[in-house]
Amino acid sequence: MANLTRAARCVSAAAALLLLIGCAATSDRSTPADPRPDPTATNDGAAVPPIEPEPVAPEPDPAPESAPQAVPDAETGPEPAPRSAPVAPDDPSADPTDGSIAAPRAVPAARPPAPVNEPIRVGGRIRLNGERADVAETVLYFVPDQSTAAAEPGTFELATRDKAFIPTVLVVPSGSMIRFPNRDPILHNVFSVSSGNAFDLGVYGPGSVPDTTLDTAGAVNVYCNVHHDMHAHVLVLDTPWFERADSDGRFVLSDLPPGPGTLHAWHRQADAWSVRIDASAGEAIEVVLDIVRPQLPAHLDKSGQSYQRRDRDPYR
Amino acid sequence: MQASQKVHRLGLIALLLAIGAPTRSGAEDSAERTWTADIDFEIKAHYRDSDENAFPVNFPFTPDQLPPGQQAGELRTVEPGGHFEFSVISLIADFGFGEHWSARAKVDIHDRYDRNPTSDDRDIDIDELWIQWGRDAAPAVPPATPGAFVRLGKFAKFERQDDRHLESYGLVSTAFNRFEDLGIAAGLDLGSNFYLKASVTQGNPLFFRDPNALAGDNGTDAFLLPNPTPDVNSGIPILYDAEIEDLDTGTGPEYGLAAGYRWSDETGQNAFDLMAFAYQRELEESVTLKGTFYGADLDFLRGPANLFPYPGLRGDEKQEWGLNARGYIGNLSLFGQFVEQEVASLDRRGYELEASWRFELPLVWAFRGRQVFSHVQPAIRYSRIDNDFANPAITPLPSGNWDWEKWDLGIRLLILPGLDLTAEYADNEFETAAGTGNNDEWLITLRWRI
Repeated sequence: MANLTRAARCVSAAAALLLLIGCAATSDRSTPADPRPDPTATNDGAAVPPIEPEPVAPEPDPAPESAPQAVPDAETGPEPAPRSAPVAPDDPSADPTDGSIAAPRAVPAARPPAPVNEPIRVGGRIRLNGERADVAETVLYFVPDQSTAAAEPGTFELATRDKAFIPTVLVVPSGSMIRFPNRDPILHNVFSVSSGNAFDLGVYGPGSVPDTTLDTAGAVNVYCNVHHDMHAHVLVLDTPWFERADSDGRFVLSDLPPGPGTLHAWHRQADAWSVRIDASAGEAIEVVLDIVRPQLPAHLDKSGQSYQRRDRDPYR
Repeated sequence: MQASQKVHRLGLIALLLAIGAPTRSGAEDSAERTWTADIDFEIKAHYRDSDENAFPVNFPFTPDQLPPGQQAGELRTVEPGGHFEFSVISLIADFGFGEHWSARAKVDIHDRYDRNPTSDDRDIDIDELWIQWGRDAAPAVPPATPGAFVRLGKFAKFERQDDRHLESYGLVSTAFNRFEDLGIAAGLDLGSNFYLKASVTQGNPLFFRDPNALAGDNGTDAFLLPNPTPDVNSGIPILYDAEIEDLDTGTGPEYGLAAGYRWSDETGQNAFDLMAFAYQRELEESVTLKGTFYGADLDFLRGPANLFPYPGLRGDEKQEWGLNARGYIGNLSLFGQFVEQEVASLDRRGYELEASWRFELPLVWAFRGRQVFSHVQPAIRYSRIDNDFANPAITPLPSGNWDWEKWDLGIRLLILPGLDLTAEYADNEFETAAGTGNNDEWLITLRWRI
């Protein structure tokens, strides 16, 4: 009888506490709504037509997608063709959800090889082996053997909103300025300890827009010193020919220089992948990436200490 | 060689090693020496609702020693019913000087909960006051380079749970290591993972108190008056290591020794810390505590006027050993402690296990750049004390040998950094001579650190 009474007491207490939990927590772990743009939408919001089946051949008359693209010269190679439209620093209407990454274009059906002076395209499809990974976070970039163009640096945005970075993956030419507008009502402290691109923006409040310039090519892990789960990757590239896959994993790299080079596929949860190609050949590329890392990389705070330390002030 | 002599010798060796071990190179020693200071105030307010229970005492109190209308002595819930109260205002000051020196002072004002069970206890109490050379790594955080420390003053015991998730204490924490001790402690890292600690301290006097939030009143001046009506009752006390009130050099010191192993992954998200520890000292004939006519240590064990001793009482040695385990798996925190204690040949042991989870909450509101309601942390704790000794045939403290079990269930909501609210329920169940008893309470705590 005593045990029954005690059990009833415990159950009552637990029920009361669970009620408190229920009132306080609407979810056990905050998962902000996916801030990434719909990769099937263009910058103006128009839907991209369904993608044709492979193989992929260069399109003879591609319409410019984002920034103006020069027609490549058969002898000197193409002019730099930025794939990411930089953000005007003072443009409040800039869409913070895409970090100004241009949406990938649909891959057309196979066509005859393009004439020599026509823009060269390479397309294909990415497939991920593994779960909890977004194929649209894959970045494809081409490095020709004989580089004839340098990437033009620009200004890009990596916003903080709802205790998350938007976007989670950003591709920029080396030397670009990254602005970090704080669109949350709370303090953040964005930092990176990635080699060659380390920075610490310090603690800053709502409305502030600190910035930094990333000069060294490579992947930059970006974190918040206050909020452990916030993370983003900035891929800094020396080549102007890069693009992101769409939500189905399809991609097209346009206006490539003719001749051989290396096509790289980068995904923040996969090991580096590359293949030698001849951009003029117009072959469809099939890429399979094994997901070997979690979305949130294991990381320490900016001073090299664990976020789990129980004696520290996260706002220091 | 006696076990106690071994403990003494090992403790001395560890202490000497720690003092002699350099923590930094000479070049770093010459680094700029600057002062740092961090001074905070902490205020706690509560709503407490305690069951009302009474258990008969067979001690032959005279009628005028009992409250008006009471025919026999009783152990009664300290303060039954619902009450709003401020329990403590604390001043917490941390100082640093250069690479090696640090100091801490924690002064409690009007501490209703962390005090000895006497209504006349001090209104201002120095909870911690110590100076330290070197570095004492946090639990389950392997240091990048081995180090050492020496600490002098009044400080917490090695095995105390520092990252507490509830306002109440478990039975083991209350009985063995709730309060700070006075003396010198040292530690030495043997690489990043293994470590040793040793201490030579005064030793906390053995006394008794209720394990719920309020300490209760026992042996106070009010009880010396005819038909006393003290503000609060005795509570249902257990034996515990009481708070030190004065520097006492009456008998030999207490020697402590600990050895542990800590590990964490590279980010500290997953970690554990295992530690074995032991203490030994000689009990004093009597220790005077402010505001009670009961003496602590042997005086307490021998009963009123030394006429009602525990039957198995022999010798004056107090020994205890135990094991600590801490584990961290992401946002899950685990704590476990086992303690085996022998007090003048009276054996008892305690177990305590606690699990808590930290759930992040979505960002809805903010105040001055801080998220309002950033996380919630439920916790559950089980603790138990088993006593292997009999009570005196006549005693004013029948609960002294009751086997006791306590469940604590609670949840802590972080309102803002430095401001949190904890709601918890303590379920006590113990085995009296007449059957199972209970003495439960709700406790809601608002804690504000400025």
